[in-house]
Amino acid sequence: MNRPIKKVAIFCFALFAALFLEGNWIQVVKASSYSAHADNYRNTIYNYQVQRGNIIVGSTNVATSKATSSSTMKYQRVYSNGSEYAPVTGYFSSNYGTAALEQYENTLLNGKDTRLATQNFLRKAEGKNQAGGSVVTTIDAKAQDAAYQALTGELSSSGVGAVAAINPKTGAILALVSAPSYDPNKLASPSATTQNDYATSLQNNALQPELDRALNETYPPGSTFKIVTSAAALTDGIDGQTVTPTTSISGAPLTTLALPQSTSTISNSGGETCNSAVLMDAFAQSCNTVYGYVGMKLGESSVQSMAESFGFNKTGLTVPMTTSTSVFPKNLSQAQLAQSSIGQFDVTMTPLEGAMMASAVANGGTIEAPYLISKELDTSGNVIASATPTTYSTPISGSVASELSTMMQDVVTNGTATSLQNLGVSVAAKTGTAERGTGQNPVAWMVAYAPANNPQVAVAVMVADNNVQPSDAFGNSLAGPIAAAVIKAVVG
Amino acid sequence: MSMAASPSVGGAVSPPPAEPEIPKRRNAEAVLLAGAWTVGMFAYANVGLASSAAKLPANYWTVGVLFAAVLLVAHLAVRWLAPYADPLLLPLAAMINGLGLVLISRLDPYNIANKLAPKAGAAGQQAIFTVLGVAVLVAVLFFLRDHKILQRYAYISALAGLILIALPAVLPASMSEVNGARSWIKFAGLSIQPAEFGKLLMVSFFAAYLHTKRDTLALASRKVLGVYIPRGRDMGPLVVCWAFAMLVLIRETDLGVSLMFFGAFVIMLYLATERASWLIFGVVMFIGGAALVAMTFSHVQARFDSWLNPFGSVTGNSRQTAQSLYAFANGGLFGTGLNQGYPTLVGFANNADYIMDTVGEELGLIGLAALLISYALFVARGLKTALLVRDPFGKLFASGLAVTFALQVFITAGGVMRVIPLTGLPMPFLAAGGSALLANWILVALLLRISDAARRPLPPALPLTAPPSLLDPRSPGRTDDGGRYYGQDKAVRT
Repeated sequence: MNRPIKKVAIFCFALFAALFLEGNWIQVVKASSYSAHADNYRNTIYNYQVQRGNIIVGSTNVATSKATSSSTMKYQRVYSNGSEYAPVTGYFSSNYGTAALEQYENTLLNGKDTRLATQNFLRKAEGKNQAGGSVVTTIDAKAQDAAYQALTGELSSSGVGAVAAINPKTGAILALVSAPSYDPNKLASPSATTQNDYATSLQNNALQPELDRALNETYPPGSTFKIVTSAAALTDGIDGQTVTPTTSISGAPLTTLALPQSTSTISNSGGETCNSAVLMDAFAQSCNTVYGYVGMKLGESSVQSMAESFGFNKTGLTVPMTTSTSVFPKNLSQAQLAQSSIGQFDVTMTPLEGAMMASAVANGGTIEAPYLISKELDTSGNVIASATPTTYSTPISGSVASELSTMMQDVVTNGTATSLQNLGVSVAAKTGTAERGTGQNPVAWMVAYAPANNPQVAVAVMVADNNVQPSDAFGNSLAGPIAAAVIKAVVG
Repeated sequence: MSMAASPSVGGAVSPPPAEPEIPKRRNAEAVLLAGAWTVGMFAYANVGLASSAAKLPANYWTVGVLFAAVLLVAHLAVRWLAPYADPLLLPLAAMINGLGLVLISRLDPYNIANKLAPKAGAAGQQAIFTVLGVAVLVAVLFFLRDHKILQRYAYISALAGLILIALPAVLPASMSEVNGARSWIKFAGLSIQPAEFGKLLMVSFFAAYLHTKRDTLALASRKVLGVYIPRGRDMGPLVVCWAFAMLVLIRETDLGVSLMFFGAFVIMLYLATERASWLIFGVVMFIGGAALVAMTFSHVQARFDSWLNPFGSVTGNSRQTAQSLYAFANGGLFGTGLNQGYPTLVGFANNADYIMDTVGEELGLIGLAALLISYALFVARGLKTALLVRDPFGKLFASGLAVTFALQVFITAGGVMRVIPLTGLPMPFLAAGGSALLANWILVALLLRISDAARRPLPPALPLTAPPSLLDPRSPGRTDDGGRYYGQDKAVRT
């Protein structure tokens, strides 16, 4: 009987081997996939057991974890200047998940990042709580403060606005503001009631304070888009003729542009007549009739390909938050092309795209990819990764960039951006006032960079406020002072 | 051991060659038991230090002394009553039992807070049953001096075993159902799992029955296509056993018990007859039957569904299967450390069917592997005993016990780890449950008894000049070894 007993022994061994292999399968091979399941409550528990890393601006923690006396929620997330930094930090909520850096840097902040595995293994061996790494942002606290205070100080109770500022030489994001904003502390409250009440109030607010308008909302760019149209004209020329800032566009109407196959026309702001059809003058005065005409002369492919090399229609820009895609429409009629060339019709952009447009001009034609994280730190604060600037695109040549720079400086000195005069530095800018539907005030824009000779900041300000007199709702008067505040904060 | 006179050669009386000394290995067992005690005590300290109080449990040293005393008693009893017994069986059982106590006490706070356990927690009860278990071990070793005696009670064992296993199926659900499985008998505040005792009785019966019928079952068959087809009438026992297994499956919602009994029977049938055809018939019949039952009865089907698709639903059994996998995944390679994981998220039965979750999550793959190896070693020692023991009944009995144990571990752990559909057996020695613990300690006692017989030296060779009556194996003259005689083994006879 011993022979079959030996065979049965092998069978029993196979049973145990199967269990052992399955253990390897579920505990090692499939472990991370199982752990990532949405209904795995361990993730929620874990998040509150771990000393989550900080989100740092300069040397200040704008988001940090404070130890509590509770055993289930050992740490609570605390935000300083929560509303101001909400577009940067996002929130970390037991009931409502995460947003912005709290979401996109979650694995580093909660310590599950593989680069922290050794440190956390040692912490476990020492009997300490698991800890997360920290994120150092590129935000310039002075610029952020200035932008947030200027914007919220100006907005009425029914106005919305956003500011995006970047360093044109590196792409580092210096300010990221959205208004109205929300307090992430209330969403991170240990009290579920506080969280729910606050979330309900946000949901009931028609202005949607939870939106990050700087990255994730698009608005018609209005005349700021003339930067792109100008770039296309300076690069491609019109009718085979080279175009420079001083070229007078022959045939361009100065009062009213009749649109082909259409009863509608394009006129200038306030029905004014332009001073001249010289490109630079038309730019400084933001002359719609000339630019609508230039757009039609350039043709759809010229304007569109220039817009796309500036970043329009390009999906997937991450900073690391995924940003919304700015849109330049396709298959346009001539009338639509004329309107699109002055930033109307279906053209939309994010405030970040506005800042990228300015930075292309400021940086000799090259857009550096915008980024929000300068360094990643391990649990003891040592740098484990530093950002290296990368080129996003080069939409224009250096000479076109310098021509555009001249034109944008002229907008401040001789044109519509008077609010940026007398800042102590030379500023290059373009205003925008984009019409929206009836009953809505225009979207006021200011896209600028400074100092013009050695650019340190490229900024885009967007304000949409229905509670001001429509006659005051201009890029220069609404958005200009905010841009001025940001420029002063960075340069001054 | 008395020395029989050797026939003298050349007139001079020379001393007989010394019997090779068979080591009893009792000291090795003592050292291993100390190791088992240490593992348990370290684990218990770990649970206390990792709790919010961050200090040793209040009863730490009391428990430590008691546990040591219990192990000492067991060890001394083996020294006295089964001195040649296998030295690994007792320490392995003690270690797993100790670890189980620690895990149950670790899970108690949650279960008490959520009213899932006896008011005082399950650990106290389990500790009492550990003491009782060792007492029963000593009693079995004391009263059962020869395992072959059990052969005489084969049919009584069968009857008692069948009644124990079938009783929950007959009793009303209120007296037999716990967490959806009707494999319990509840009365007067006690709940026992009769199948745990039933398995011992049935294995004992199978061993005795197959021992007497093995030749008929093995030889009376026709060979068709290289496979031995048994005669129809010899299929009887297999069919009866199969029908019984299916009945248990349907009535008790208990695939585990059903699979364990039928599996053990088929394997023992194979051991007795050495005919692989029995295995083929058995496996085909069981899979066919189980599939049919699964398709017909919704409660069995639900278990299959949650096995095939554990993440499909967030309620009921599926939720538990998914939660179980999450626990193992969270443990990873090293585990969270005792008392630092969340195995209680699996909900009810966390200290019974799902106790392996705690092992996987808190001790990691390393701890799980160590535990599986301990179980495997226990089974290996049982099969080794079967190889060594001289009588066929003992071989069948020991291998039957070992195989039943291995199947139970596989079915339980495999269900929790999603190798097979979840069943509902308690993890031997580990899971909370007094009746199961008692039954498993009896199993240890039986294996100790058989292994003692296996390793005990044969009585000295009989002198060739002995009176003819002594050469007759059935002669009462050969009862010099506690009434034991070895003449029945084939090897001796030929």
